[in-house]
Amino acid sequence: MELVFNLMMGIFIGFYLVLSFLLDKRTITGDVFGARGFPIVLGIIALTILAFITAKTVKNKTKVYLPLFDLKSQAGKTLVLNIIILAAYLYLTNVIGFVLSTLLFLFGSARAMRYKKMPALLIYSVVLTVILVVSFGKVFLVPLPRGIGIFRELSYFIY
Amino acid sequence: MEILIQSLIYVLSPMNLLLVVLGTVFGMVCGALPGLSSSMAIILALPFTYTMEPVPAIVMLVAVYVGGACGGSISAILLKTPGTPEAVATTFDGYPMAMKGQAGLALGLAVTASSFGTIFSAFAMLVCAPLLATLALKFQSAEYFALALLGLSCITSIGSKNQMKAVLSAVLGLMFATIGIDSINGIERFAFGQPFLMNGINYIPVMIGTFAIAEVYKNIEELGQRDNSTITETKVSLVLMKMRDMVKMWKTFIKSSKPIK
Repeated sequence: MELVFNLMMGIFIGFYLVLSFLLDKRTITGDVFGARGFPIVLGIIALTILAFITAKTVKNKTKVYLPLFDLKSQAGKTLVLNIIILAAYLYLTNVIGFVLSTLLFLFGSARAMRYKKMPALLIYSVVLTVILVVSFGKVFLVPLPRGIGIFRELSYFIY
Repeated sequence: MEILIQSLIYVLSPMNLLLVVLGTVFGMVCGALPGLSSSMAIILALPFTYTMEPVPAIVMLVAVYVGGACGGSISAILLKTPGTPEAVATTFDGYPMAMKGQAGLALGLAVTASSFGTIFSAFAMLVCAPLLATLALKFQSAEYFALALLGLSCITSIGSKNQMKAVLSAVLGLMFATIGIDSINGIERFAFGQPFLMNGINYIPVMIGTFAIAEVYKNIEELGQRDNSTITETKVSLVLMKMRDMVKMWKTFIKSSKPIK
């Protein structure tokens, strides 16, 4: 399982390295590296270290159990479902606004974690959303996402 | 000396002391909420100081900052989510203590250490500020590089179990730090045209992602395997440190004190 994680890490670092090579070459006098030099060096160092760690893992045959990659287990399923719900929440905050998306997220994630008492779950979702909106949107004046279209217009009545 | 005593009497007036209490409480509330840092607490408190005299206003803002720094450890100990960047290290010891049922003691230690650190660093600044100002003027690129290197080398002591992974984490951190506008050449790096990435990645979302979300997913993993037979302590009371314990740990207290920015 650690090898899968290392592979994902390798893809990310490789992507970073490719983007680094595509950065602007221009530089000022006295700066030998330029804007892309430092990221390239970091990317190469990271890949080298990752290769070293992976080689060590293969050599020692170290096994790390990550439920995220074990979709047969209940924990793995719940974990993946929660990650999907979180990703959907992050996307939806900019579409339907903070209030509705938070309400749906709190309810959905709790359901995904196998909480079954519906009345308690509804109260929890509504109360926590109200607390979050009032404390962050009204008291601390944090610019919460408003969404688009009608959701944006409606959000101005709340925060 | 005379000026110092006069200033002290002025700062310790009942009105200023009341502002210290209010500022500290407000700062602690903001610090304990992940997402609101000490700086944010100061920004929120700033409008209240517009009508104040300069000294009470500064006293209140300093109290808010100090309260914020201390409050960050509350969520770090109880939720494993540091409220402020200063409280990241508190999660390493504070949360395991809370898991052992010693949350009150951990909170007490954090509050006592914060109080001591604030008072000690204020005195240190009072004595050393002129000397430090002379030294600061001599700080050039080489010194900054040495300081950064010292910070990075500290990672080896934290990740002593697997140093290669610790070094990789440090390099990944540096990689994320390259996001935004390059400060030397002014060229956009990895921002993908997004305005919120131009100034680099903000600390608060990184902290919440690294600590809070990771903890939530760890709990989800253990959902079905949790041992519910353990009796949990529902009442947590703050256990403040005694003077003799503080004296025993004087080295740690002095090492951990940092001056107010």
